[in-house]
Amino acid sequence: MEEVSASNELYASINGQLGVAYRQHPIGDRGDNLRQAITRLNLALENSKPEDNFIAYAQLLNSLANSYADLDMLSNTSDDLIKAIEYYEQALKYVSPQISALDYAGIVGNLAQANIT
Amino acid sequence: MGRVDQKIELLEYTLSMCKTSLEYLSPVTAPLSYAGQQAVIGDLYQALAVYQAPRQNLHLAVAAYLETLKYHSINSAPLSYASILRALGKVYNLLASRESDARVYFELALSSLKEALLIYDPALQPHNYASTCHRISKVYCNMADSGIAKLEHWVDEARRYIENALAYLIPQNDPSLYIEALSESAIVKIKLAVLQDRTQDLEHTLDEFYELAAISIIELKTNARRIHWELGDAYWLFFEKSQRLSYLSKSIEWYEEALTRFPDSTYPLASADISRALGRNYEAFARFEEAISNRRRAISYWQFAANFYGSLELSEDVRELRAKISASSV
Repeated sequence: MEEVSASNELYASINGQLGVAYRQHPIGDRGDNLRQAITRLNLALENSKPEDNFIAYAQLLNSLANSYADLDMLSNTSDDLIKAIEYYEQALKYVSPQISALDYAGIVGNLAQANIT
Repeated sequence: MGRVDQKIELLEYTLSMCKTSLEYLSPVTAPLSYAGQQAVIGDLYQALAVYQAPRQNLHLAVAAYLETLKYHSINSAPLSYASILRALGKVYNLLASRESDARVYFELALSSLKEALLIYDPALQPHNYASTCHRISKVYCNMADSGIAKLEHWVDEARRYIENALAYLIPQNDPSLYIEALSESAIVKIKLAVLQDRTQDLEHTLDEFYELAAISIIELKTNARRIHWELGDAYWLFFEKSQRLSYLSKSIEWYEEALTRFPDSTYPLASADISRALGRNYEAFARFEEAISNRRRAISYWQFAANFYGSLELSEDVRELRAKISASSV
């Protein structure tokens, strides 16, 4: 069981990093890269448990929300932005300013930008 | 609760979260995060200014951005530093239309934006470079509209910067900004043609603009709200120049179309500004035909605008419109 768990953790970690990399990828179609980022980040979330590391889980949700917020700029429909806001709000359930001030500030800042749009 | 009230509540709620998070960030140990949060607070005040107490919220935004700049330097984080200068420039430009000493705010806006422009490399940050040019062009346009001397010079500067912006904007990366820049470029060219008495260029510029805008809207599938408003402005300029009623009618048509795209429930300030322009147009129409009904329409649009300016605590605008209503009623 421990092996499976460790493998899941690694799988989640690699997909999480791939998701972040796809989001920042400067080459290729921006929309395709963002959709790849969303797929990878969802895989990472499916293979993670918040109770294992609340902050890491919140960071994944924050990255997923960022990808949707970026996609919103391209699509110009509010659907992606609504999803982004939902994921930022979910992320804030796992992090507080007392536990990790920097992560909390980052997610709140992103949520603010999404709410301004 | 209306949509405007909901938006205000949402922004105020987010603002309170940002202020809470600021209490846990130290400017000494995490200066960039502290500064970043101050910048977000500035953005939130700027957003709130669209819906309530613009002057007060814009000044609060300036204070937050200036606080942010204390923790950034051009050497350590040039791009962040430039982005705050850009935000400051935008807010100073907005304040110029709200404060009596407009010229001071215009100069502050230009100096902030031009400092930011020097930091961006158009080859490396084309979008930031282009959007900063776009903002500088807007400042020059507002300077020209505000009646400060050197009118033609300001409009020409606006043209130069907006053309520079268009040269570096990639339409697919930011369709809305591209369309906005396109329409502003046309308006600036039209204003310049009017000022330089090049009447023969006016129709051509408008046709060219209309065609470009139509193509871009279809290709980029973007919301073309602003274009309707600006076409209303363009035809008003045509009318001012030629006194031809057909241009005045077209201007009214485009403004009325724009009003449906800027509903007062979502865009109270834009809705008030368009209504003020419609009041001006109907008042002008009344001088030519159907004086009573057109004057009534003008008054009704001005009253609508005055109500919104009142709710936004823009007392000077309300006073100006009440004076127009009273003059028109006599």
